[in-house]
Amino acid sequence: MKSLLAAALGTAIAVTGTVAHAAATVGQPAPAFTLTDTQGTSHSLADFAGKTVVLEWFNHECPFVKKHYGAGNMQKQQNAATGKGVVWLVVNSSAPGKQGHVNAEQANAVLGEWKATPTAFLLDHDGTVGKAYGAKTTPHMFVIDGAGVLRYNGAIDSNPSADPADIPGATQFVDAALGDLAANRAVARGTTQPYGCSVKY
Amino acid sequence: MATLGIPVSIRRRATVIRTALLPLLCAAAGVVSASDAPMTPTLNARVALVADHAAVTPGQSFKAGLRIVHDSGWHTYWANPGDSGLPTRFDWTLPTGASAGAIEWPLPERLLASGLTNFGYSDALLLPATLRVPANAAPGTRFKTTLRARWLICEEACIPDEATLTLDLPVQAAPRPSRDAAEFASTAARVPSIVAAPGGHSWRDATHVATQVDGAATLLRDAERIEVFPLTPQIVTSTRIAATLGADGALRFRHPASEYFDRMPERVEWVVGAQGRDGRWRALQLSLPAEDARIP
Repeated sequence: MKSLLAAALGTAIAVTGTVAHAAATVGQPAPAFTLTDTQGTSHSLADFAGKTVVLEWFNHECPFVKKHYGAGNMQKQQNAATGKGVVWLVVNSSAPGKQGHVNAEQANAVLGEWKATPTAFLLDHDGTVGKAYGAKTTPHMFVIDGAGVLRYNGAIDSNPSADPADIPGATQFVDAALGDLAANRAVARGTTQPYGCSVKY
Repeated sequence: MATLGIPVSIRRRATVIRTALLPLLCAAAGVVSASDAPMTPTLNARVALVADHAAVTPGQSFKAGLRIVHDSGWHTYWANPGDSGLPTRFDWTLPTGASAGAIEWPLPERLLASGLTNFGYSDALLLPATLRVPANAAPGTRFKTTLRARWLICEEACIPDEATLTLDLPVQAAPRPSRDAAEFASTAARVPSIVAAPGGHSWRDATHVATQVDGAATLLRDAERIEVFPLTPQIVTSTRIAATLGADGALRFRHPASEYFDRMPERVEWVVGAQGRDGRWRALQLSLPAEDARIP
């Protein structure tokens, strides 16, 4: 029927030919990666087989990232998740010279200043992993289950704003997804639209 | 460590520029605009609260709005900001018995940066809203209202900013238009008219969302150029939508589904802009019933 529809409308529809930017898709295996963290340790997604992994795209100069760290929302979620055995990886894909680009030492200083304790802070300065996942904004969040399947792709929460006062009234999507996975449920909201600054590739 | 607190240093730099330019901007304000309203310098823009009336009458509706003059290269966002960004927000503090409607968004433009597509505005912008004066306002008194406007302004980097501005108009027996009335009128032409009960549908297929708007030829007559914007987020990608007006009078477009498509809502809202041979834009807002799949 779809082909009939396409044939029926084909003459009138101007097909754009635009191909959506490649991105990690919920329900599909998450793209494999290997990145070095700010301690010089190499991490591959495969190293975390059997564990739930959260990826958080990060730019400390971005007002939306500041919103969630300034209010302690991100640190609280990192602590809660890692306390339950979840691996939480912060990823910095800002290219050299671009906003939010940090070397290992600077990244560690930011984490210290903001009292953030993710499992690791990964340096993706050439943007390879960010592009493989289709990371668009900071923050942009992904949750991968123990079998390596992507279960969440989207925003940190339900209220796209730069105002920390909006956090208490928002639904925290990552927290909800982790809750669903821990309870062996399907993730209720697996795909949302991320909001924030553009990733500075 | 000073370099790490860069959000602060961005603000500081912008503030320094703002301070340095303040006398210059104030001096220029009267020249740049026909309006009497002073322009307030903000981070990478100048703003003013303006109205289409210089005097209002009891019970009347009139337009008031935020004028934003963006610095070159900077932009703010539409109701659906696209791949990143935030819509501008208004919070009015009104006299008892007065009311204010939502922002009446003019047609946006597509803004391309860093591989993302956003919907927003650059250069000079007026964001109007409809205000109603209380019916029991007495001639000889003042209609005074305060707008807290919040926006995100971006070049490549983004800065959230806000201004709290006051409008103070005399209430008189007869209304009197302001010097900004013409700007409100030209902006109104770019604010979409809501089409009541348009015929048509939007539906999802394997990869795309397709839309048919019946009887669009009468709405879009003489259109030389048609631009379509998704007012509902998470439906289609933000890239330009190619739309075709068929011989049967229907407007059709089919565009890749958003990467963040979740499910079809009951209705999808679209804004269609049509530029006539005279170069002027008209804009329509359409709310169409939506289906996950459609069998023809």
